[in-house]
Amino acid sequence: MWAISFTALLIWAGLGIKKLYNKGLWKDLIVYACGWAVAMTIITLYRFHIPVPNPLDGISYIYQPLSKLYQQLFS
Amino acid sequence: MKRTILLKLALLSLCALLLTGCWSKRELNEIGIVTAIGIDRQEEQYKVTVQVINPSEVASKEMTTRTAVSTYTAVGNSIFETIRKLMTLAPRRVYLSHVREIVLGEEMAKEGIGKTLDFLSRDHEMRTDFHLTVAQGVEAEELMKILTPLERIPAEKAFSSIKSGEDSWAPIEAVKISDVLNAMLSEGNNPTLSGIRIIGNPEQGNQLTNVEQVDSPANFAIDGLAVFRKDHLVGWLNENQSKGYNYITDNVKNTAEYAPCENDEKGGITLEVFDSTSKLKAAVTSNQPRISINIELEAGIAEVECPLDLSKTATIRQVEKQFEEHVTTLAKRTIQVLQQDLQSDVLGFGDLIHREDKTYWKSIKHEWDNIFPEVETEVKTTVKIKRTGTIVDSYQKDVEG
Amino acid sequence: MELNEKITLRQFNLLIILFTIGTSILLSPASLAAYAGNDAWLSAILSVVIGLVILVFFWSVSRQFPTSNLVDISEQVLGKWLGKFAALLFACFSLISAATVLWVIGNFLVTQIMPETPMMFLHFLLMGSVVYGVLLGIEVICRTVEIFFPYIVTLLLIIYIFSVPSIKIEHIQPMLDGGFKPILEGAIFDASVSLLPLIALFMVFPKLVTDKKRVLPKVMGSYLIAGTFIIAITFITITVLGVEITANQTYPTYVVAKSLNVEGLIQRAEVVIAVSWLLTIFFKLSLYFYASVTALAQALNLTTYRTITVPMGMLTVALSLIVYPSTTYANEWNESTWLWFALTFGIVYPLLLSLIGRVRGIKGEK
Repeated sequence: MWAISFTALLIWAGLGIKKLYNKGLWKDLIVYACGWAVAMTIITLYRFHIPVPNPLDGISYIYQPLSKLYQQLFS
Repeated sequence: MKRTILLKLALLSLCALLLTGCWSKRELNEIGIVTAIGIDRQEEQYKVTVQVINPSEVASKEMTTRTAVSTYTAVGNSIFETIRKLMTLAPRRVYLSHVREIVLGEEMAKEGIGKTLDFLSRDHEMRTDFHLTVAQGVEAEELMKILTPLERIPAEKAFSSIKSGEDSWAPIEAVKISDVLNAMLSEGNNPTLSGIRIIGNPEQGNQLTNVEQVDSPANFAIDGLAVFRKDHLVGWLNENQSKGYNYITDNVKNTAEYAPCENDEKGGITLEVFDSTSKLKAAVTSNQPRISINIELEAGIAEVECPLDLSKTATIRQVEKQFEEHVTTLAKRTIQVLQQDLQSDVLGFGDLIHREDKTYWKSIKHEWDNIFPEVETEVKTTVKIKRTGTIVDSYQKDVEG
Repeated sequence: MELNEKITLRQFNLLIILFTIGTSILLSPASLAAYAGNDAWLSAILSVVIGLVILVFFWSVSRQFPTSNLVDISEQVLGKWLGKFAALLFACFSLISAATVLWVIGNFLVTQIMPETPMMFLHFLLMGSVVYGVLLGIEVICRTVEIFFPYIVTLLLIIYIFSVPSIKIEHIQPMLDGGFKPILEGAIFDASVSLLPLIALFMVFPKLVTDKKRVLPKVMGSYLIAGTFIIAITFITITVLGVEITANQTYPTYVVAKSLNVEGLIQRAEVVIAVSWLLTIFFKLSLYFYASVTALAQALNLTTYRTITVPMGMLTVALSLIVYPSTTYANEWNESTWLWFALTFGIVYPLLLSLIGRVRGIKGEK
C-alpha cells in the first residue's frame, strides 16, 4: 500500500513538473519542486519513524521569554 | 486530452478505495456486543465480566435452547487490559458502545471506584448513557450471570427497571457517570449509586430453566442506594432512607406513599404522588450554616383502609397533615443517617453553602467533613391532595359503621 | 496574478461566521473551563468583547488600504524586499496554522470515531478536498459556504435546543468564585484562538469583496453571531456536564451531544456535531490554506497561485503529521506559544503596517 501510494505521488509530481517545464514557467517550477521535495521527505521520514525537527519547537523557542513573563503575570 | 481522462479515472478509483470507509470496518458478525460490564477486585487485580449478546438468539423467532447472552470473565491488571484479554475466551472482539449497565462489586466499591471511572470516561467506545450500579453483598460477576424473564437480555432488564423505577417509585435513582464524576470532584458533594441485589438462588439463575418457569427462582432487584465518601463506599441507604434522599434531592417524579391510620386503627392510607418538588436553601448566620429543605407534594388518594369521611375538606386537610409529618420524618431520618452514621454529604449541602456564601465556604472547605455532621437542618413539607380517585368514601367506613 | 475573482459581502460575512466558529465550537469550552472554572461563559463573553475591539482595528487597517491585500500592503509600506520577506513569514504562519488545524480534525476523528485509521490517510483525504476547493478559487469556496451555512446552523441548533432540558444552573453558581483574573486569562486565550486568525481574511477582504457599503456593522454583526454560538456552547457544556468534567474533556461539545437524550426519541446524536464540525473546520482550513498559498505566490511573483497549490497541500499534510507529536504537546504549545505567535501576525504585524503607512503617508493603490 505504502509503495503504491508513494509511486503514485511521485508520478503525480513528475507530471506536474513536466507540464510546468513545457510551459517554461521556471519560477513556478522551482517552488513546485521544492514543495514536493520537502513534503515527500517529511512524509517518508515520518513513515519510517525517523524523528523530524518540529517547526513548532523553534517557534516556542523564539517566544519563550514572552510566554514565561505572561505566566508569571497570571500565577 | 487522453491523459486528463486517465488521470480522472485514477482519481476516481482512488476515491472509491479511500472514501468507502472500510478501514476500521467492523461487521455485525465480527463483534460481540457487550450489554453489561461487571467489575470486581481480586487481590490487586481487576476481574472483569462482560455480558455479550448472542445475536442469533435475540433475533430469531424460534425458541432455541441457547441463552440470549453469554458471559466471559478474565482477570488482569487494568480494566482495558482485561477486556482485551477476554479475546482469549470470546470468539469475537468485544464492542462497548452499547453497554447499558455497569455493575461494580461491593468489595471493590469499598476500596474505591475512582480508578475504574477513569477507564469508563476515557475510552472512546464507552458512551455516557449507561447506568452505574453497585452489587449489594455479592460480587458483580455473580450478578451478571442471572438470566431474567420477560427481558431476554438481563442488562436491558436492569436498565429499564431503573429507568421506569425512577419514574414511578421514589427510592430508585438512575445514576449516570457524569453525575458521579461531578459529585465526586466537587468539594461539597458526594456520589450515590443505585444498588442491585440478587433475589433467590443464584445457582439456578444462570441456567435457562430459570426463565422457563412462571416464577423464576432467581432474579435481581434494584434496591437501596450506595453512599460514597469521595470514591469509596461507606454504606447503604435502605428503602425508606432512599425515599427520603430522593425527596430531598428532588428526584421523585411519581410514587406511592403509605402511612398508617391515625387513632390506632388498623390499616393505612396510600397516596399516589404525581409531583414532588424540593427546594434547598442554605443560610449562614454568625458562622453557623443552616439548611432549610422545602418539599412540596401533589398527590391523589390511591387506597384507603381507614374509616374516614373523605367528602369533607377537613378530613382531606387532616390526611394532608398526616402525610406532611410522614414525609418530614422520612427526610429527617435520612439526614440523620447521613450525618451521624455514614458521615457523607451526598445531599450536596457543601455545594449549597458554597453557592450561598463563597467567602465563608473558603474558610471552612478543608474541614467540611467535620462540620457536615453538625449542620443544622430544617425540613418543611407541604402535601396537596388534588384528587380522591374514582370513588369518594372508603367502603370500610360503611362496613364498620 | 490573475485576480478577477469577486465575492459578495454576504458571502464574506458567512465566511467570517464559519471561520470563527471553526475549531472553537468543539475546543473552546474545555480550555475556558480549565482557565475560568464555572465562570467560563463570562470568559467567553469577555472574549467576544475583546474580539469586537480587535475587529474594529482590523477594519480601520482595511479602510487605510482599501484596494490592497496583505501582501500588497507590506510591499507598499515596507518596501519591496522587506515587504516580500514579511509576506513570506505570513505565508509560513498561515501554513503552520493550516497544518495544526488539519491535525486537530485528524486527531478528533482518530480519538472519537475511527481509532484504527492511520491519521495520514485522513489528512490526505481532507487536504485533497481543500486543495481542490482552493484550485477552483475563493469564489467557489464562498459559494460552498453559502450552500452549507444553513445546514451547519441547523445541526448546531439541534444540539443546542435539545440540551436545554438537561441544563442545571447550579453548575455555574456562585459567579466570580475565583475572581476576575482567570476570566481575563481565559478570554485572552480564547480570543487568540478564535479571533486573531481572522487576519488570514486580509488576503481576501479589501481586494476581492465587491460591495463595501456599511462594512463595519455587518462584519461586527456576523462576528457577534459566531460569538453567540461559542458563548452558548460554553454555557451549555458547563451547565450540562459540570465544570470539572468539561475542563477534563478533550471534546466537551461532543460529550454533550453523546449524552443527549430527549425522552428516548432523540439520542446518540453526536455525529451531528461531528458533521457540522467537519464542515466548519473545512472552511477554516481552506481559508488558512488559501491565504498561505496566495501570499506565497504573490510574494514570489508567480503567474498564478494555482500551480503551487498541490505541492503546498502536500506540505501541509506533511507538516500536520509532525507539528503535534501528542495531545499533551498540543495543549501545552497552545497555552504557552500560540497566543504570542497569533499576536505577532494578528496584531503586531497589521499595527506596524498601519503605523508605518501613516507615517510615510501611503494609501492603498491599484
